Amino acid sequence: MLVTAPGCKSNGSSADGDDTGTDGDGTDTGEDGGDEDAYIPPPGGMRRLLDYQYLNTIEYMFGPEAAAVANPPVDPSLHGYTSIGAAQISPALDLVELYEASALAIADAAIANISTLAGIVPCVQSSPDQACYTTVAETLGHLAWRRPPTADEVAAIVEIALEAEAWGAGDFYAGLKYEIVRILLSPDFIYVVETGVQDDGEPGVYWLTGSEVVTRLSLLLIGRTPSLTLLESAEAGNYDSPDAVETLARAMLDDTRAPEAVSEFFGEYLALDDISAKDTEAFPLYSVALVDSMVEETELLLRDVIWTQNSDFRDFIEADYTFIDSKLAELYGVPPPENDWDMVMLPAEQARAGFISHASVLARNSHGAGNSTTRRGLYIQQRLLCFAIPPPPPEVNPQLPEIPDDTPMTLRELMETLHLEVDSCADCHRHMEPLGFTLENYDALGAWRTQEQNGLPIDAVAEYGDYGVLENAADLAANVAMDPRLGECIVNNIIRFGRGSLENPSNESEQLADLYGAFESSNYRFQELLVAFVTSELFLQVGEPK
Amino acid sequence: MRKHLKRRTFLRGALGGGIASIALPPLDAMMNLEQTAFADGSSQPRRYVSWFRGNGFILDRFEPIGAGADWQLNDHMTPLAGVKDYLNVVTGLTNRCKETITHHEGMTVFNGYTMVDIGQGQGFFSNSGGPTIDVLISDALAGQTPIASVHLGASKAQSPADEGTTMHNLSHRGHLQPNAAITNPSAAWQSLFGSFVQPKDDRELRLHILDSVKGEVSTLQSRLGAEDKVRLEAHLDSIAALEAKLMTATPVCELPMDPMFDNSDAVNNEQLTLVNELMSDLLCYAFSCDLTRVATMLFLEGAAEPSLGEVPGNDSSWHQYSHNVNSWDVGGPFDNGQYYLMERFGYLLTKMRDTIEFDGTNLLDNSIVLMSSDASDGSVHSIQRHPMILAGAGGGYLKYPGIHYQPEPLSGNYSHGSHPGPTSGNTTDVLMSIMRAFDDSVSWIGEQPNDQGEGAGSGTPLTEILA
Repeated sequence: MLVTAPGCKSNGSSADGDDTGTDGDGTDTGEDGGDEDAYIPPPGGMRRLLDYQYLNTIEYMFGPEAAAVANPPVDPSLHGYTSIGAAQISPALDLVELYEASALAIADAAIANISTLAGIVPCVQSSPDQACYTTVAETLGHLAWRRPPTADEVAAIVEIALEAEAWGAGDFYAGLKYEIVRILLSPDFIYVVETGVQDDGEPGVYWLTGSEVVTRLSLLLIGRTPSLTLLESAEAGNYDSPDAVETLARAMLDDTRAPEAVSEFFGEYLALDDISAKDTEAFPLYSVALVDSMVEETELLLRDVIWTQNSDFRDFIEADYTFIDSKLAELYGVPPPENDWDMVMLPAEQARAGFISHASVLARNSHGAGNSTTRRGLYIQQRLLCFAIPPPPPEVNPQLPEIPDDTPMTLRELMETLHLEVDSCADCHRHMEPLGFTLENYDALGAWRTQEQNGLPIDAVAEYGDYGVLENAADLAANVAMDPRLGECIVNNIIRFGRGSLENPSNESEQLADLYGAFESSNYRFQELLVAFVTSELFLQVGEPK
Repeated sequence: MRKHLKRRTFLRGALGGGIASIALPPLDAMMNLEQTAFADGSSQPRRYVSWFRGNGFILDRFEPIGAGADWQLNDHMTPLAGVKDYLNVVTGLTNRCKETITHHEGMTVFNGYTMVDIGQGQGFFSNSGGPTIDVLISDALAGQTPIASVHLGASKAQSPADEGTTMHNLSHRGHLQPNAAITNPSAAWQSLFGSFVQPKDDRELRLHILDSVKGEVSTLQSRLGAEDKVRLEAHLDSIAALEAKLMTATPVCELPMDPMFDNSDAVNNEQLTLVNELMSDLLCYAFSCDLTRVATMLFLEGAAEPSLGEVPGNDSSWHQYSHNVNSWDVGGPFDNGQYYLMERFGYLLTKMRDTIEFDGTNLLDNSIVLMSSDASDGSVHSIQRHPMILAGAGGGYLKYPGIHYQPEPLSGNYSHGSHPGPTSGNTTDVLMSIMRAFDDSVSWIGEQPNDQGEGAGSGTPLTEILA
């Protein structure tokens, strides 16, 4: 169903529909596709709750103490997203064991701190008797499974509760504990099913049902499954129109949990948890705490742009301000903040701008002991611009050359020799190295530098395709921010994250173009992108179950 | 971001530098649970381990000197001197994977299938084309132990060169069915032994719950398509795996303590030597208690980028060293790392040799441990002359003392940094040899040949290494 990864044949950074494949730019060339009838939604089916969705849902149902002991399985990722992995990769053989261990611990904590559950099912506190087991099965079952359990299912749940109560010598809470475990171990809790209802006119198109829509929406926008009230309202047909979905989406974006849920997207999209340790001899400032501060800086800028300012998302790429704590102040060589975190203007002489010059992304795309112009360039192309760069062809010699001791080189000089002189390498590397060269003024930890460790001066001026001459990082950031592929790439990525499948330029070209357009016409406000996405066919429809 | 996920890492604290090693159970405590004799009359079962370390070898310092019964360890294999008689080394064979991505194709040496879904989406991507040898073996042994298999790892570093599943996992049950490695020793302990440490025995109740949820699985199956039905089958397998554990009586052997070490250090600062020791110790315990007979150990995946800080001279990415001509010299970082990796493998083998079974044999006598990598000469991602070490006598199945099987010696013109030759045969033949130790009815492993007769599958075991 997918387009094969491309070569690197295109010139420069043009966004004119070259052969960059499924992630190249996604714009419709007009030569094929673009026919409304060609639209085929991605298949319906089931996907597993992601770890954070599971934890947030447990906290909602049972309280923070229960969430603190919950320990769901690790989510494998596919195409860079755990949501895609959760829709396609088969469960590991220890999946149920891990869920069971988690459910047993949750149930103990839920009962030890019963008030949260009692807020949903009051009888667990007010009248703890056998009749309450039925109420729990019906109410908590409905909430956890996102559908009302059938009478047979309620009976099966209560049977476990009664058996456990007897095993616990008549203790109501022994029965309740295993009843909770029973409900949480059901595949109806663990998997989100999205099969929809067949469209009257188009047999290959299925509209998600009301409860499927509010579940998908809640998971994306507030990071947990819906409340019982919302589920019941959806079951009554109140969310069958895009207008109602929009109203709900806007309400959810105002929810205090929305920023954290949206940060889950950026956590995977920006992949900043991959910052590996640095060689502390070369980088004495390195510490795990510093890395935490780096990631927090990026988080704070994101939240400022998306939530506080609700401004043009491209500010995230090229803002002239940032947020620092004392550790980052030391790293960046600026005065320490007055508070734990302060918003500060970036020092002009360092030519920093926005996320592209954050220590987080610079350190992530470096080696333990030094810079990598390749990785920095690859990250910008692949993650920010969705320009797919294929693996090196097998015939390419990937060996680094020997540098004679008596003629030291800068990293840039080495890469120019190695990656840009030979055509077979340069085909792809000319899309990576020049971008990386402009970031050479920042070391592997993201600190400003004007010379390399060997004392050679840094030349950060580079030239790249349509971007032309790039004087420094701020220049690069401005070009990336203005590149139309940036907005399209973010759209592609939120689709991947939000529905658990890759966007498909062949089957969805019109819908994708509409969403790219909606993001642009909203002046690239991320909240508006989310609203446009969740009210589009891309979000509300699925195909045949896979 | 995703900060709240960090709190889920165990806060049990590291015991640090080597002191957390696990004592093995006393001799009289080690009996197989059933106390039965096995089909071949031996009193101890055969076990299997796949062991992997990424980025290849330096062949001219690795391939043994001399072939046949009379052979000597080359430099990089000297850490295995103490167990040399237990080694059958196979060099000079071709990994016949039909596609080349770089690194991914090397994984074919463990399953005989070319990877699939190549290049879908963005950049480096593939998934495994079929089940790996450990899965074939655990399927053949199904039901004989409470745990079908265990999948362990040391480094948490993930290769940036795979957005799919091929390289991140040493074990695959099939397409999109990876068995992920546990890299946290405490979690590995929980997985192997935790279910046998019960405060109050509620196992019957828990079995009843597992049985009860199957109704909902069937209801879901009726609503979903073919792909999701495969996933629900796997979910049922996962239920069955827990049922098997819960139905097992607490083993008569003494259970080890939770190592209380979670391997949570940042990549590049991981204590891989310690993690490997803990994992190896736990594995020997599990084998000697006969909780499982099949394991994989993904010490470090291919094309992963951590610095192996415990290796002299290593302050940069191990993957980068594999491609850096300056690091290959004797005493250089890539050379030093070859010894280091073989020492880690040697730790497991030595521990197995020193773990005495009930009948006086040791674990290594009764096991087959296959070690390989994602390349032969990793600097050029070559899968020619893809080496395989088989350690252990396999319960009398493999030659002991072992031999060096090599159809032709390494070309005198070869130097590290190029594709080695000559190369011939098929590495999957070795998988056939291993498989027959566990199921002598198996007639084919891996993919079928295509119309041109190409393919990595095999129906012909390498007989030279058999006893």
